[in-house]
Amino acid sequence: MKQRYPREFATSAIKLITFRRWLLLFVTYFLFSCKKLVEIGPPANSITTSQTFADSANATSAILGIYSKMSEDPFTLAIGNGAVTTFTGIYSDELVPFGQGAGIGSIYSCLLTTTGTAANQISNFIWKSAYSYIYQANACIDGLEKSTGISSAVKNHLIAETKFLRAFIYFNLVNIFGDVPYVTSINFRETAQQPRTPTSEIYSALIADLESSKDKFLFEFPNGMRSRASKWSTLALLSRLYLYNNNNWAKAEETASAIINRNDIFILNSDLNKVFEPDGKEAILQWYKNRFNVTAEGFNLIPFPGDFPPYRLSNQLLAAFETNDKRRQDWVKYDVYNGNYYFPYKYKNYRLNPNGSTTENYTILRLAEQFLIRAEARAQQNNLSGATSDLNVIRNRAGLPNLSDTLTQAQVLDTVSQERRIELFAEWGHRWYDLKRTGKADAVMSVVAPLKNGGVPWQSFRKLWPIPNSEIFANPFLVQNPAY
Amino acid sequence: MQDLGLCKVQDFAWAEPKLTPVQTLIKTRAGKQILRIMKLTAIILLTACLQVNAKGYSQKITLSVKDAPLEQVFKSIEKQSGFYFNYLNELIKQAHPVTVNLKNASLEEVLASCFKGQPFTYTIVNNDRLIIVNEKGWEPVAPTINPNLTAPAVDIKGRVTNERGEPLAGANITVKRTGKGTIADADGNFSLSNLNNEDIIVLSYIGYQTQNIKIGNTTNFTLVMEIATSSLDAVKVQAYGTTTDRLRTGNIATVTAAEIERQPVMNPLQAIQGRVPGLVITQTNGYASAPFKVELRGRSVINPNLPVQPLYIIDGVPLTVLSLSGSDETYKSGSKGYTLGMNEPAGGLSPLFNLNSDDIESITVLKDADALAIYGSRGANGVIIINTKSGKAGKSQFEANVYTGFSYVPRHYDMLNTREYLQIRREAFMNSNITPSTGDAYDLLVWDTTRYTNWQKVLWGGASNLTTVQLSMSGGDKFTTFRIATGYKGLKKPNTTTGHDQIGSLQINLSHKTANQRLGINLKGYYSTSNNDLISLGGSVILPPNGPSIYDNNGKLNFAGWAPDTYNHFSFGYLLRPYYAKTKYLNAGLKVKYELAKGLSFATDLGYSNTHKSQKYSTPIISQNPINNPTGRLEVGTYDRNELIIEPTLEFNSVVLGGKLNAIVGGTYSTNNADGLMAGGEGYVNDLLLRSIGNAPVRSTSDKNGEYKYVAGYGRLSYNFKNKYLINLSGRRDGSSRFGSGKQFGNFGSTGIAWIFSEERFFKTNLKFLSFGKIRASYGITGSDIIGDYRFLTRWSNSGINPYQGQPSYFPLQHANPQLQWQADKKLEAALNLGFLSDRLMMEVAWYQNRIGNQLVDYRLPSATGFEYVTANFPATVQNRGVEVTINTALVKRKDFNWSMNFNIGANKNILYSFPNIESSPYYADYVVGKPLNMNWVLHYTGVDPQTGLYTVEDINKDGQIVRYFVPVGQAQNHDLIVKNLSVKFDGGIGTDINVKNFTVNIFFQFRKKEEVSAINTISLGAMNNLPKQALDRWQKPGDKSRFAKPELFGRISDEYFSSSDGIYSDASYIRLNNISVSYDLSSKLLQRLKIGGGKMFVRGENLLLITNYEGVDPDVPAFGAMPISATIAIGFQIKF
Repeated sequence: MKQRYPREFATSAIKLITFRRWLLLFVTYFLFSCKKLVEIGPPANSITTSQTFADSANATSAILGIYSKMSEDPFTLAIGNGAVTTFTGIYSDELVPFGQGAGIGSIYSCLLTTTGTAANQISNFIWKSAYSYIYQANACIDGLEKSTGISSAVKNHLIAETKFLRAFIYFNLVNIFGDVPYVTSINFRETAQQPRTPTSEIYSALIADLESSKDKFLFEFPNGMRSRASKWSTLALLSRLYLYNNNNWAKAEETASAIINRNDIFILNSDLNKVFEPDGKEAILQWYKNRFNVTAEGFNLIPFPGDFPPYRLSNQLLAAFETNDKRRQDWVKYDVYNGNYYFPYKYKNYRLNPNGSTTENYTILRLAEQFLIRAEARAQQNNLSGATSDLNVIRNRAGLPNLSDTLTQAQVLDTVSQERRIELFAEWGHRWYDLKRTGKADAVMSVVAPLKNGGVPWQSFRKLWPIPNSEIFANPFLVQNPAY
Repeated sequence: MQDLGLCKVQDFAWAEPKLTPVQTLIKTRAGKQILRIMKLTAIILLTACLQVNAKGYSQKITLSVKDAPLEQVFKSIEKQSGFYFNYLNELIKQAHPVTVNLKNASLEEVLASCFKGQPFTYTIVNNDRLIIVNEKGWEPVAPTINPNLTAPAVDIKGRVTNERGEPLAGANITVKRTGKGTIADADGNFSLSNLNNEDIIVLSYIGYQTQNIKIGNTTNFTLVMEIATSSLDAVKVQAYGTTTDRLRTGNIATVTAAEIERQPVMNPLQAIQGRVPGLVITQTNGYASAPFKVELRGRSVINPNLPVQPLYIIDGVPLTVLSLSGSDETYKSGSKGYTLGMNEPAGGLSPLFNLNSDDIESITVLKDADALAIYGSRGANGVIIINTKSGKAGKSQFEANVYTGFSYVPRHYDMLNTREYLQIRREAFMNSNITPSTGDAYDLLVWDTTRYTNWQKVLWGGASNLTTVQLSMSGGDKFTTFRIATGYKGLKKPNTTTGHDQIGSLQINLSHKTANQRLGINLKGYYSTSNNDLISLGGSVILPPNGPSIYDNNGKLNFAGWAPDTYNHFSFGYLLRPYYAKTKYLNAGLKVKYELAKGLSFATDLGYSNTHKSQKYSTPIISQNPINNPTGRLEVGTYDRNELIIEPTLEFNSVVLGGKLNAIVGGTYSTNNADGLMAGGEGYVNDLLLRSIGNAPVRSTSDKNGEYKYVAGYGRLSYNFKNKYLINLSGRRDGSSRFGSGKQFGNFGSTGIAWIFSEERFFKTNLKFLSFGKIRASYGITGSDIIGDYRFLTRWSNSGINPYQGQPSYFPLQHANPQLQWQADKKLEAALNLGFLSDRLMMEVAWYQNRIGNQLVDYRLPSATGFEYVTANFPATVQNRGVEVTINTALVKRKDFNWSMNFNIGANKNILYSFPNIESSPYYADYVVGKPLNMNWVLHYTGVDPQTGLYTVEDINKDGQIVRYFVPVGQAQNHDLIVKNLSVKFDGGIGTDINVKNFTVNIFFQFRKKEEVSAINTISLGAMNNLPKQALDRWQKPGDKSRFAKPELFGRISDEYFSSSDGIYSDASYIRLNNISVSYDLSSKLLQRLKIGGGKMFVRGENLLLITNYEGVDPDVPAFGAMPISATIAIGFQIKF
């Protein structure tokens, strides 16, 4: 209890000096230590982009993520696992929704009649999944290009693999929606307002990409399995692109031949029931089994016994099979629900089977298509005998006799069309794409659409599906397809 | 405490320098003898003290000393009597030694003996247990002003204390004539020189009444300040310090313990509903532990995915909740608190649920830039400071507060009876041209059509028990104060099924100052544990009224009885799916303050808080329909949150140029992390195994975490000139880990000014009825970083993605945006504070305008970019502008009758102020410049067509079709939509407190004006759900004018039009009787007989009345069938001794 401050008035000046000294200390302290104080360690449950592309193992994992996502569980239809087959199938003349107002069937009628939300759902399934994989592919390419820890040979191989995946997705987008934004950047500032790119430009870009990357692959099949993109899948897609784009018949024939000629690697499987077996000789690219060990096609197209079946094969398709076609026996099955109905049976497994053995893989590209591409390319170039012999390879396997060698070019082309319809039914939208590509869509749909949709006539603008409304909202430079 | 007397003697013995006459005496041989005697006496006294203390204080004093220093004698008297001496050290040094020998004497006798012959007088202030010692002849003098002084210079000294004798360090002593002055040091001592006898010194200290004292001939002052009686001068918490209503330059609203205590609530937020203008608090559902949506002064963010919350600071420790629930939280839902996003019936847990409202001293809401800018970015959405109670020097006090009551669902929907329900169902089948079959009309064909169950009565009908026990002990002396409290609150859910919310809390607050008063240390520790035992009921109350019983004859769930219904309607499986959560909350704040020099002190606040929540949700087999061969499921999760904060501050107080200067510089370092771990088990074949995840055949785990660091340096300069002109400047530099390199730091600042014009002579003489008048204004910029963590960084993850070919696979998580930077929040406020009739009527009118620019949003992107969102700064500004009015009035102020009223209202207008190029932005379909953010595009409803019985909407653009989709500007403008404003228009409260003799009645109403989706209008007629009575007004035949369309089984396009039209909204304004409390102060005679210091009995009610035109049961819980907020009635007592 003593008097602490003998001096009655400590001057303000002295106090201020003390104060300033402290202030200076504070300021210095903060200037030098602040930066460190707000730095936090890398996130615990994720890794940064630079870590991801620091070495080839992690970079490979980044690419494998695209496969994994595309082959993901079969429940949600997305671009990689069933959406294309299912939606184009019910839209065109392959599949018919079973019963009215139920499930996919109602989505179907929405696609065909209104611009309502259901149509957007279908578009969304495809569009959003496609672009998220495209982003990942772009991010992989960007990361690999910037990476310093990976040798250039490995880098080029991985980039080539990624470019195939990206091209494959774009191919499907273009065939469903027409012009779409061709996004190759991960900078959202550039891509957020990107308008639609003309289809022809996209095709040119895809072809250029694949041409440049087809020789960059370091080995035939990574891991010895056909479940990753390779030189062969690149060529297979390339031949398809040549066929679809500007009728580049010679290139299509040449590229298909490069695959067909390698009969040490690729042979048509004589047993139709084994066409989709894992790493079979007919496969060019397959998705590796997902964790449920069931393909999206098997799970979605084959009805569960006793359950209400989602859809059936259309009468038009059933009628298109020639008699004694083994494909009718092996790839089509029937069940009973208010009478017989038929469904695709290319894939046989439809149950979730996580721990069982794997008897089939989801096939993306296979040799049979290459024969059909070459046949069409040859026919277009008036090499009718070459075309017929390719067609006969396919027909013979299905137990059908050789074609007559007196067919005209038009007849050969018709046969190509017919064989494509039968060989490739319920696979990756081939039928729908072919109808549009060959200009037959309006004619076919004018008959089919009213049957499925209560007599509402077909409208030609519906060949292109609507871009999801939410996308139009999010990017004002994105213009909807006409009439939607 | 007891050995202080002894210590003092030792101190006294070894003190060498500055010998006083008394001390000199001890240096002699005789002195040593005296010392020996004194030590003995002290020991004897100590023993006596201990005995006395054991019984509590007594007025009877035993004192036996010989030639003891007076100060020593005072100590003994203080100990025995509980009275404190208040004196000036210098003065007491003139004392003669004292010799007395008294046994069981009264205080007066003892004092008379001790003061005999001393040069002092003393005054006993019984109420405050204080004995003031002064020089003989000293008198406080009324102020007069004489500018022409020429008297000789004098120097004065003095000591300033409060009524309890505690020194008031930092008290201002200014000389009225010169404007110069000084401040008291840590021990309350001060000195001033060059004054004259006519000078008047002005003594002021926050929370105490300002005094004017004429110097006269006194040179040694003992100045005792009295607590301010006017609410204007009551201490108010402000950012990093205290202020008063009179002197504040910012907008600070306080809710005190008195108001909080009388509400029987489980969550303190419920207790401040409607009490702070501009603060809109909404309970999100009927569960007591439910999260609250808290919004101050309107919506500030465009981003619909960000829950915006004020910053809570509890005993100096911020309560930061890092969201771990992912996309589960939105602006609309508000923050869900501690949640992992798993199945939680209450939809999360309010972070304040674990804070026992009975431990809260005050809740302070900082609203404008001046008040909260010093919290920088963290305070951009307002700051709510919650301080817990602390001990006060004086007699130790034990307090018990016990109440019990019940809680119930106050309002039910008026539903159709079975006949009416079935009639509508039949109409629906008929209108749809469908013949009912047992597959789709089992309510008509299978179930007993004569049965009737009021599901609301079954599920909500019960009254639940509420119990609260709060025990506390507090007290201390002028060096050390303490409060230890423990409490329990338990509420059994207001429905007939099980469910319990419980909180147990322990609070320890300790405060100590060293004898020289320079070092102070304060510890506030709070620990609580809560249990939630809940069951989710879903919308079960809208089941068909003829639904079979819940349980069958064997007491099992009646799945068979409800057949062929499967899962769709029979949702009672939930009754057997328990959810348990146990949450532990620790909050500890330690403040160490040291006075470096007079007026300059250094303090460090250390805070730590931790929350640990563990939860378990099980789905046993018995809760599922046996026909599906179900297996059991179990989900467990833990949430762990840690927050550490270190805040060093340097504070400087001085008198500069006649005004008071207060300067603070400080820094904040805070680190937060939250970790969540969840595990799920599936495929249990036996319910007995459900207790452990380890027993699950299939298991999955996932973890979530968040980390956030924040650092800031700040400074604040306040200047108060003559209590008339006030200015406050603050600036800070903030750094946040949420931004990328180079963007982490931002500078912010604010200024506040005030002019207390009622102090001006002009107003004093001309406007006498105006007792107080102040104009204040503030402007400032704060930042905001409310976004998730790591948003600036590109990241890849492999969680939730399958390996491919057995190899790990990754996927990218988000767009990187290294350009992310601070959101800028510009706040402007102007206010007028007025007091009339000696402050009997006080009012504040505040106008504010907040403009929040550079918006941090989840910028919506086309998915062609890879993601649908990126976190980015958006070149848009949101404006909230509003007016807040607070009025408090004491209508009657008499000894036995007091009547006061309070009223507050806050009206806010929210608009999107600017948005460059909105038409080319992703938001063109959501927002309109000049319109509120809480808007919807809706069709205009035009009623039910009497011919078709269908809902109709207006074809606004007359193009022959109804278009519900918004199309971008530039493309065809062909929609039929109008804007619907869904903001809260105003919100406030009105209350009255009446006190007649021992009775006190407090009534408080909360009111709100807004529009909301109508619970009734959202119903669809024809489905297998019961409907409210209003559904009877439906279309039946052509020509009918009805409210609802014709019942049909399937949704029609016209139903969609209706549900996206303005027809589903209704006025949801209400007045809610939030709280009513009647208490009786037990008469002192009775208490004296029971030897109890004080006490009261009370009845309290919460949410007892709702006045509204809204057709649902609660406008705050608008979903049809959702449980409304419960009502509570409790009775209890409080005793103190």
